[in-house]
Amino acid sequence: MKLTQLKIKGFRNFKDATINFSNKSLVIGSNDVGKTNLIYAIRILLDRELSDFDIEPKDSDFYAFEPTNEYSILIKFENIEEDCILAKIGHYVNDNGDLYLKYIATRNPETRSKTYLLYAGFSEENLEEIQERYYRKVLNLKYIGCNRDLSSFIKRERKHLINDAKKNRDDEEKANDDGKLITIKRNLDLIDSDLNNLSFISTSTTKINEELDKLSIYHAGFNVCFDVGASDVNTFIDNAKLGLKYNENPLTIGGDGKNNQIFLALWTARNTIREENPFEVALYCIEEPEAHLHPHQQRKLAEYLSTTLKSQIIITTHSPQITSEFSPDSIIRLYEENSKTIAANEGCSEIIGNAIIDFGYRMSIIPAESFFANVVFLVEGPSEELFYKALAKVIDIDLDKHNISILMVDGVGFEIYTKILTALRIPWVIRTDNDIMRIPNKTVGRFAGIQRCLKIFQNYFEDSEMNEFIEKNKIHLSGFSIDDVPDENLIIAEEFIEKLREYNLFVAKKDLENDLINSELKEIYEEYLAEIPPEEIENTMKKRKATFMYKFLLTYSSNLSILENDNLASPLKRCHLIALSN
Amino acid sequence: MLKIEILSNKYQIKKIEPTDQQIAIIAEEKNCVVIACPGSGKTFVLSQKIRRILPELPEYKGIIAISYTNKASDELKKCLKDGLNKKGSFFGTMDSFYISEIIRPFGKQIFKKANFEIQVVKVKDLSKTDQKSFERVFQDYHTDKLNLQQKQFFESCFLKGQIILNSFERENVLGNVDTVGIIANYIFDNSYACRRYLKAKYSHIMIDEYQDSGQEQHNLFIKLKNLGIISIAVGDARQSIFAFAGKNPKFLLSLPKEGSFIVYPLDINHRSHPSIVTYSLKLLKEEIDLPVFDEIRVFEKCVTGRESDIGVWLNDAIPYYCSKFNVEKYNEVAILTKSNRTGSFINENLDLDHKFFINTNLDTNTSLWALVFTKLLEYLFDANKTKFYVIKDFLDTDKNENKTRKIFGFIDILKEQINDIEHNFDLIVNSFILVSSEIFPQGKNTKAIDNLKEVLSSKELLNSYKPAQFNEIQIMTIHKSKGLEFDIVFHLDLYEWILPRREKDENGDYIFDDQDLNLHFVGVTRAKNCCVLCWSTRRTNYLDEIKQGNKSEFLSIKRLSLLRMVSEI
Repeated sequence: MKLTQLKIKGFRNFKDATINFSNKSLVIGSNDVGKTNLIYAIRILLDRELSDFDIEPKDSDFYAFEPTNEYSILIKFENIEEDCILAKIGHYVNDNGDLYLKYIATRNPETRSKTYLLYAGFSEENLEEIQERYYRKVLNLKYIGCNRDLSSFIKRERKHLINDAKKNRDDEEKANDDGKLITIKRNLDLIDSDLNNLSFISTSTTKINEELDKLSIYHAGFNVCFDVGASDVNTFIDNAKLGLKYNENPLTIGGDGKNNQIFLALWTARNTIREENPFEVALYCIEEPEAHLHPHQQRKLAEYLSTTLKSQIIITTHSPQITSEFSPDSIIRLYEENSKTIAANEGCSEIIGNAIIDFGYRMSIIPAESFFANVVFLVEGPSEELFYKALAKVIDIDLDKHNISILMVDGVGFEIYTKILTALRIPWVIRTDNDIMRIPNKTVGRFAGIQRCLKIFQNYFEDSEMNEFIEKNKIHLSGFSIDDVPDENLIIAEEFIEKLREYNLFVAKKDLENDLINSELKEIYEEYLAEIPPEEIENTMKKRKATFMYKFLLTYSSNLSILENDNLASPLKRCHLIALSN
Repeated sequence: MLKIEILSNKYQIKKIEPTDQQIAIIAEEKNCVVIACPGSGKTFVLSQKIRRILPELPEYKGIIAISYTNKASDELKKCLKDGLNKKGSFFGTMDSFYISEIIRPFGKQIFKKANFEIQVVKVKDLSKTDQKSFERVFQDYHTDKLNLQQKQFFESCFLKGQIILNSFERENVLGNVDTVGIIANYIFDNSYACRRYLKAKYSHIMIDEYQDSGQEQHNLFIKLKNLGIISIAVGDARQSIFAFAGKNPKFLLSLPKEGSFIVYPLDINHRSHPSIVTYSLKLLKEEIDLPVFDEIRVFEKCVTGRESDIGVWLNDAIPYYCSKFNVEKYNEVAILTKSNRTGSFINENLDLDHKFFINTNLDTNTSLWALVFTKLLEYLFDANKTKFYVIKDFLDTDKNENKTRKIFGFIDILKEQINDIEHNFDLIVNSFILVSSEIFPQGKNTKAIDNLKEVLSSKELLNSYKPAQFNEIQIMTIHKSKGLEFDIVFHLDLYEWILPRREKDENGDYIFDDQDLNLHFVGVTRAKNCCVLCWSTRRTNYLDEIKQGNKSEFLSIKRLSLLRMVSEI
């Protein structure tokens, strides 16, 4: 069984959204974009904890930005093969194993009275009304929200854990246990009498009994006393508290982080037991599992959830650590556009997956962070990253406020990132060097940087005028002498660079270091360079760019404000613009 | 030994120890066919079997328990009602199973979506044009191989929201077309979703009264078995009273040949001596493994001469056997024949006190109304019979109190009227009709009414509905003996050409009538203490010609010869 698609219309943030799911799906998006509402939509149809009353529509459930008097939630399941589901709701499953469930809420515009109806069927066109969500016994969703009250959860779950374990004993174990229980009972009785023999205990109860005596004749023969809570061995055991020990020494159960981990471990343990039993098929939904956890722990948790639970899971998160543990084709990014929330590319898609396969290795955390941004500024390497972060500060572009991420592609290439970011509908801006490369086996070169950008342009943009221009002039971008580039080519190159800016593709004059030298910062830069022995300059600049840049910025970052109107700042300003317009 | 408790009535718990046979059936885990005799505790066995299966199933699974009528399935459910969790089970008739579990849910996946709510519609309630198309399209059909027109007919009905039910009380050529069964089989064959659903939901299927199964039900049963659902068919080949409806014990009898069914007889016919029970079952099925008894109570006798000579012989044979087996009253002795003709020969030649029950046309009429008429006549002339006797086989009196009261009212009137048949003739016939109409409103059968009139008009025929006196030996046809039992039975008419009857077809081959095996079986099982199988060297045929009398093929079956002895007298 797999929940493959969800369609929400007119419900809370969602005017009309389609979201596709994979086996382990991750839902990301800024606060208030509607992640919890998306989960709630699924819960309406599948969560056993929501009663019929709970799912009655409220005025606040109707999409507010347009007059709406109806909302609907449609879930599609595929590959239903499990006996328990087929037996219960098989009338609505077709040969392919497809099943649709739908919830429609309506409101009468005059009377404002609201009601809902439920449907099931094997296709969107063949839905039939059903009276109840009776299938939840065999097909449901288990939900953990953000507020995880560990102590009450433990109280409930402890009983279940104990009972499950009791059931799984064999006869020998049971016999042994029964014997031990008798011993425990005897011991408890002893403790009881000892307790009541403590002088202060017996005195206090004597006092109480005397007073009661005065009140009621029926009290004769009865005695109030303290007990260990042990009158019944089973109650005693049931009340045993879950404690934490370190090398036999008791500790109070940990802080929030540990509590979170214990909570999730308990919860998962219970559910993996159930996974083995074919009487029920559940999908799991966890909101922000990373709460209170240190980054390594977050990754560990993500790995745990993803591998231990065999069933389908849906997780909402704000954590790049967790995101980096998931396959990128499982990322669902929700974003807002014109007051409605939609899922980029309708959710999980192969496009993203294929893009990462090009990576050749698992995604690391840094790119993962960029998935949470509203705009991503792609730069060549660490020195650019350092530079632009410093520049942003001084020219008053608050990167965090506007959710702008600066990401260096560092040898991996821009295309992989542009693919993923485009699939996630995250706008990007590129700044690349204007490098000239030698054509192999020849003495001539080409404008590699510009060509790089042109390739990206052609993959992502359609503009007939620009295409014409490219066709006409691309010849001039290569086949010229490297040592002495003819003016003709330089001029064409400059034209290209100018035009590419429109598409958020920024080509440096040469490269960052050279551009800095040739900018208004020239004097300061030279001042800095003067402090470095000449032989070292070239060395350092070429081989330890980042360290070089770092040291420079340490001292001179406040001077960067001069560059506000320089071309160097253009890509950053473009990011700012894009961020503002969304 | 397995002890099982049942509630026999609300206020009494009786401990019943099931017999070895019953235990074997209850414990059987694979596909099986249970051939049950009347009085063998069939419903008890079925309900115990269900009780054994249900607790082991997960909550979402269940069994399919099919009974022939709603009344019977309610009885089965009642047996289970004490809090037993039925889980996902289905209790009902085959028609209701077809409709609710196959046609309604999966019809719309096979046919296009109906724009109307699906309703079950009887053929006779269709428009005249639709009825005519139905008759035209289904003149000739092969189950499981529907032609295009037939498929289109069903599809167009479905789109109009109609599932056609052909009730079997229609008396025309197409009364036998089980439309609901045909569509259900078609949908089952073509919908993977349907098959997968049934397999996921149901672990077992039990069909009762399998001897009355038609082709379509049988086909579906085998298909469900092939899906892996454990299949149990329960039936009694000898009880097929619905032959006119195109139902045929042949399907029951074909199950053992399928190979994957284990055959269980359920036959504690407490009435009969074991050697007689063994003989009767071996007659039907050679593979049945049954103990052989030292004392054999089945005898054979060949009388030299004709039927009348048998009558003469009987004058000595009857006292001999009566003293041999301590039978004191002559009405415990029966002489069973196939035809009236033989019966009348015996009637003329037997000197001992006897009563000849002439087989009337009403006796051989197997329609529903004829059955009711017969029961009424028996009631009217036997002070020991009650009004319940008349209707208990047809109607659940608990569920139909009003109807029952109404019927009893008619019967009371009839009881008055019958005192003067001559003057009340038409009123009497009308009363009979009123009772039958209440029980089987759709079953009006003019032939039965004619047969009834025939009986009412003849003192001799009427006489055959009156019970014998204690000193009267009873002479009757096997047909008429159904449901009765006697200490000693003389089974006559065991000649070639007679029992089993045979005819030559156009190729010159012999064709036999299947029902004759059943008839012989019924004859044998009427005997409690002793059964004597008789024939003579000459016989009289239907043209009153004297022919050579050769012993019946039934008596030449090898495996049976060891189970009987030659009569000493």
